[in-house]
Amino acid sequence: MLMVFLLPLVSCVISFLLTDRYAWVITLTAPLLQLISMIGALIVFFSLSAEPYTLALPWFHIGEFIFSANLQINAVSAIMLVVVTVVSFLVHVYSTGYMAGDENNRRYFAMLGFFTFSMLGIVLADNLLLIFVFWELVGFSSYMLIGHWNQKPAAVNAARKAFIFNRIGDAGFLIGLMIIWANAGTFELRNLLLQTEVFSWQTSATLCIFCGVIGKSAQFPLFTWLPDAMEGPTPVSALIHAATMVAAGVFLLSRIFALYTPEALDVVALIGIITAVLSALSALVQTDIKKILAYSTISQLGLMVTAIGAGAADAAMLHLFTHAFFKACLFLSAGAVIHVLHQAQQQTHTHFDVQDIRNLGGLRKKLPATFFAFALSGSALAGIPFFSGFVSKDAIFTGLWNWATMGTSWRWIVVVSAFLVSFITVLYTFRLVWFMFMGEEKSTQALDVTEAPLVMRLPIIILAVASLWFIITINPVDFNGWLFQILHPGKYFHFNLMAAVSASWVLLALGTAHRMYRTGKNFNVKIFQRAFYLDFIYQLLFEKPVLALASFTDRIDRHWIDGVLHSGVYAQVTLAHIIGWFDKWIIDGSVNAVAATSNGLGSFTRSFQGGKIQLYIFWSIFGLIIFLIWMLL
Amino acid sequence: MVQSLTEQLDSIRMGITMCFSEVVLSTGILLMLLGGLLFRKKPSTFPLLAFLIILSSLLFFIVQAQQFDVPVKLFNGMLRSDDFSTYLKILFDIAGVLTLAMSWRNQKNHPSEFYALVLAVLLGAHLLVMSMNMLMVFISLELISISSYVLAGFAFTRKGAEGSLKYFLFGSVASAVMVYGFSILYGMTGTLDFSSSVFVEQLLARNSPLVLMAGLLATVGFLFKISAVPMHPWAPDVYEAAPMPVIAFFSVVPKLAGIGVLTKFLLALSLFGQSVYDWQMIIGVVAILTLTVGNFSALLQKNPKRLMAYSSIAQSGFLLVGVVAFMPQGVQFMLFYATVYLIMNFLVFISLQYFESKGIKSIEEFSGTGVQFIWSSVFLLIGMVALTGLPPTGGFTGKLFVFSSLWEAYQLSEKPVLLWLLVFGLLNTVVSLFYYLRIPYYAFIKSGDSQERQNFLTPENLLSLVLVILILALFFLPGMLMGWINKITFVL
Repeated sequence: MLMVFLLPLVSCVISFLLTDRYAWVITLTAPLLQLISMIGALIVFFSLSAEPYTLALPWFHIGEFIFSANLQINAVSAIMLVVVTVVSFLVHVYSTGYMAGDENNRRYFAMLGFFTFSMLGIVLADNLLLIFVFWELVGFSSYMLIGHWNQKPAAVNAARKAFIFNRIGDAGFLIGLMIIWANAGTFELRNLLLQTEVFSWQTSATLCIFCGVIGKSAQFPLFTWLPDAMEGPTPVSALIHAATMVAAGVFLLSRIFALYTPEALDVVALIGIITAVLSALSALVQTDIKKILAYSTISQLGLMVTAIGAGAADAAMLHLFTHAFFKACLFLSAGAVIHVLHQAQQQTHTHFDVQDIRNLGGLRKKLPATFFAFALSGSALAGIPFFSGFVSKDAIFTGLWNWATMGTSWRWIVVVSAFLVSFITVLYTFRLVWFMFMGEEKSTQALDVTEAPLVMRLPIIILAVASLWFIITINPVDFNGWLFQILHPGKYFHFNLMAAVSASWVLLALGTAHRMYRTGKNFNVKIFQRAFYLDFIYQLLFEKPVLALASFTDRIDRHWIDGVLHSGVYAQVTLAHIIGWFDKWIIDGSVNAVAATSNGLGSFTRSFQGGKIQLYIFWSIFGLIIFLIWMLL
Repeated sequence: MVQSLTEQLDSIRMGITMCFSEVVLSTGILLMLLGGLLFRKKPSTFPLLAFLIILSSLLFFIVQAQQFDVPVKLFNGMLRSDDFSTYLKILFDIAGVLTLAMSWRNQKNHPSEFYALVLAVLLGAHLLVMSMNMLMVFISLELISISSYVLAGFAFTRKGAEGSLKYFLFGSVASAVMVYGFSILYGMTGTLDFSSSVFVEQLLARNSPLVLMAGLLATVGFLFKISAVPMHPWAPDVYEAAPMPVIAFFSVVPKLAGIGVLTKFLLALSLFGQSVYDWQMIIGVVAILTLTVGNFSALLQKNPKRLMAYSSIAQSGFLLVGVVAFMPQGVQFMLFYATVYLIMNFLVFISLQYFESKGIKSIEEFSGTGVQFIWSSVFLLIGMVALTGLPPTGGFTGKLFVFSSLWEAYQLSEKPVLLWLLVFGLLNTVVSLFYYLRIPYYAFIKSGDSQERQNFLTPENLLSLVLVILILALFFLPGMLMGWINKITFVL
């Protein structure tokens, strides 16, 4: 287990240590290490017993408080382990093709390894403080990866934005941690989850932690960083969306699910559904491939968070699992399309935005394998029967339905909205597939496009096959398969009517989508396009006042800047004089010191005063050490 | 574990009423800086303002004297107000007033900043002797230190800047070492409050050399403040370069504050005598070294300021003797000696400043001043005699008290280190005679170029006269002060 955990770090270190000359070695070592790590994860997963396995590692202790860095594997974390390592391995393989020739390959693979390592840390840690540490490491490595092409200002801005948005959420997380510490006196999840009585601040504490989740899992109102983060390399987007960054939030929620009070869960559900609806609507009108996928991720995450809020954490984890595979596949295929089109463009020296779906079309003939994979995983995203997405979505709807029948009437609004989201999901997925692969070729007509290299195609195919229903259950209409049994042992309420309703609902949506987009017409709604102007609102509310304040302080500064500059210059001149004086003194002083030592005891004690501060400090520390040794002996 | 909000607010409110003088000083610093911006044209207002601030802080203690008999914990145990710290605070404020008296005619450069820094050092010293929490100790120590670094450069000469920089570098190292020690102590005990029983219990339970190391590292910060060996080398360079009022101030306020908090901290570190490590011996050795290094290095000095720097190192050794006794009486005698030290040190510095203003900067130039400036020379002579510890001055009484408490401690514990300390202390007293009396020797015995007598009725001379009377009074009527000090109970 420890090996699974540490190998990505080893990969990171290797990548950092190698010189540029041997950069090619990394493209071998990094995927290889990930492969071993993945196999280890699979072994861990299949040898999983009912009892959680804990690896006890003492960390440090202050007085009587003992902090441990325990690692724990239970059903949920074992599944996450598999998801993270598998997707990470495939992304590594894919990256060797996608990033070939990039001059900062070393940094890229190092950060990729580090990213995986930190995510595994979150998955395995049994201590909230440790989780927070890895949580921050994930934030940091995502910052590095999103801004990988640091010559692009947009990429740098996006990285910064992602970082700042995450910081806002993490501030909440930190406050939550403090509240938990003040009330429960422990960060050990094992002990925390066993606690039965509710402490007085529990709702606030869990909501504060949820703030961290909002930042990391891109929930309303902090979700606008995720579409911007598309500026990073596409494999990174795949990793962020499928397995690591955003999944961390959902994973954390389900990990500490037992801590949430009913009130807190209601808030979680509401935030989740708002996110799901808003981002689904936004995805409907985007024109950039990756942005559509980004909004769809946000919307799916919103559904998962809603499911957790509705008490169906296991359904959410199931969806997280299936989503990881098909979303990774979607991103990697999109990346393949972008990659090959870019190369084709370079050969023919034509220029258009290859990420804009309005420029694409009819690619199914030129890129059959990619089309096949994209269609499979897109069907999974849309939730068409016989695909994994259908099954896990079914689980979520069942969970929501149960929740709504138990509670007050407003919960039905949530259920209806969730159905609406699933409807819109079909619409935008269909639109995406149709615009890219069907219809007539537009700008790409003249290009000589060939399929992506095998190292890129293979991961895509694997992931596409993993989008089919059988990876989680044998019966394609019953989510209660083998994986769900692990998450939720025992009988689970399931009703077939829901599957039937869901299936027909999706087919209805498919029909609508076909009617709407068959002609290749593009609908554009400004407010959706701009993601409900959230960025604009942020700018108005926070950025402008902050900048105004900054310019105000700047003006004050300017009044003083002259004085500061002058004193700086004076200080430098003084310093220079002192140094000059020192030089003279070192020569003179050493002679004087020799003469003085001969002058008896008085001179001996004084000879420590050579005028040189380094010597003073040296003698003092030396004296201290002598003292210490003398006392200890 | 968690106090309710109202309780905390109550304790903070009570803390503020008990810390009136600290509040006054803090507001004073702000007022002084504000005044510096508004009344740049009238430099004479600043010493007056500073004087009023310190005076009101001082008056508070006198008016509210009975309030401090019972130790009170303030601000959730961050500070504690008791009569030990109150007495030291009174000494600081008196030293502050004397510093103002020395500087009000001479400080022409940046007066508002100068007085603000002096007040900041005073505030830091006040807080330091009240601190019961390592964090608070560190913050107040840094408040003193950082203000001192700037004050040390207030001569605005090349040398002054150099001294200030040296002071700063040395101080940074000392602070870093101290914080390192604190952090280890915190890691071992889990509490920052060194007066709490948890602190002592945890250290008792953990009987490793790490405890000694952490304790020693933590003590380094205090040794630096009182310029004791091995943290002394900064003193001569800083003293030589800084203006006279600043040196007088440095040699008293931070030093006494350091001694005050060291006394408390050592009691906690020695675990009330239960520690396996002999802290009495450690401090005893430090005192011996400090005495020896200070006195012997002073012998051949040519510059009176440098001479006084070594003298102040040596005097730290004498103050430490009172701490080493590790007895309530020893602490009381230490306080008495501290009072005497305050008076005689300021007496010497005021006279030296007067001579410096007449252009006499090295010891040889004092030739013949006995005739020229008779009163100042006599005052200087009395101050030097007091520093040596000869009758009929308070210095003799103080040394007698301190050494007698040491002798009692030796008889109680029969530790050889105490006897050695006694022997070295007495020997060093003899040694100090040689350099302390060198200036009066030049002044009275050696004849210089005879010049006419000059006007000696200056305010400085009048102030010196008051101090001389006090120092003589402390010899003839020591019970006057001792009666008051005897009421002070030193508890942790």
